[in-house]
Amino acid sequence: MGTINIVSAVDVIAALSNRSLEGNLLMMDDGPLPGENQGTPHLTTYCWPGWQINWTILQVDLQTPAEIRSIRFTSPGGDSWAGWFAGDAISPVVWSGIVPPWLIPGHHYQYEIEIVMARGSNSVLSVQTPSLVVPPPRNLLTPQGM
Amino acid sequence: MTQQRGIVIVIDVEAALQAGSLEGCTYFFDNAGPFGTTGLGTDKLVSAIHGSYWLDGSQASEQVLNFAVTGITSLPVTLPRDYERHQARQRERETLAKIRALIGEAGVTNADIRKLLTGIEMPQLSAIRSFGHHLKHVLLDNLGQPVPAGAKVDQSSVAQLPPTITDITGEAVEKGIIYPAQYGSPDLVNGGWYWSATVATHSPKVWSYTLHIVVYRLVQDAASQLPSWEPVPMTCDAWLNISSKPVRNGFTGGGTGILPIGLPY
Repeated sequence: MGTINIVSAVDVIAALSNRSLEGNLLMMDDGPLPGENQGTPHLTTYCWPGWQINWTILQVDLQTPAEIRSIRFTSPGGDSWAGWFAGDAISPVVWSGIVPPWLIPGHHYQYEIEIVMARGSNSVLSVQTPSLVVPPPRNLLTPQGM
Repeated sequence: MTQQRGIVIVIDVEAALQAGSLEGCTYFFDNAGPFGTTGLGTDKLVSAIHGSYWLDGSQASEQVLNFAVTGITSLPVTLPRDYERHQARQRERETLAKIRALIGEAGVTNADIRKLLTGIEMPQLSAIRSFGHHLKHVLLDNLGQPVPAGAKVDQSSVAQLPPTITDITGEAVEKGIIYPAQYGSPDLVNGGWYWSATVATHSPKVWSYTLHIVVYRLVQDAASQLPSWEPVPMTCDAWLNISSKPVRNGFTGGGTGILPIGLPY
């Protein structure tokens, strides 16, 4: 059982200026099987049941405020976002958890990561594009998959 | 690594000099607004500092404060340090370029050149009293242009010399809650110096600290015959609201558990 760190570096000034995290959120993981789309909000992280995933945030400019407000996974039904979330950025929160045993290998479990950066109407921005994937057995992989 | 807190102090220097105090003339800001800071834009700033500890009681995150002070009518501190000399030289260069352009033109007289030369204005120098001697300094108006020599100047007609932090003291320093120091910086803002402090978050409470700030009054100096910036030391208080909570998990609200993935709700 291992640990995988998913680090999200956010350029707060650019994100608030463009009102978007696209291009301003750089997600990376350090898993043993390198994730896809490293450095983008489309990061796919390969993980295994029982492994611990830690999400942390870094500000490109250390003096800008940014916290992870929530991380929510899609429900099997599709369109609604399920999962307990903290909801307030004031209390110190760590985002980590164990990969459950019931994940279907090869399925992309997408999640929404919400980042709070200041006050005002566009201060909370989110992306719904990163995902966790349990790698399927080797013989099911397409040639470009691994 | 954690987010650093920037505390910005904007001072209405003219009002502070009239009042003889920074009270009511100081506007504080910090970057923790969404995270519980109160008194933004007033002289009663209470900065929220969220400490946290692990289950074994050890401090989970360090906190760093950076202080920046500026005057409402000071020129931006991000300008190069020799901006005023550069502006004065620029005017001279422009006049010389005009004279050079006259070369070879028929019908140019000495009078034309003399007329251009009168366009060169000597900049008014001012002096900053510093440790018993005077530092000469080109006076700029509020638009950043050199003030011509001999022009009548007063505090409101020229760009203010930016205020300077000289010390940080008070309850929080005496009790060892913050450890302030002045640091050198490759960034030439404030001449390459800035005040910073590290915070021990083990004692949750509202702690006060005192900023010692020098503002500059423009006076006519009898000895040097120059408008001179006379340092006027002042102080103002600010507060840190230190809280410390156990680190909790965003998914479970407690310890680490199974990720809520693929659950039927």
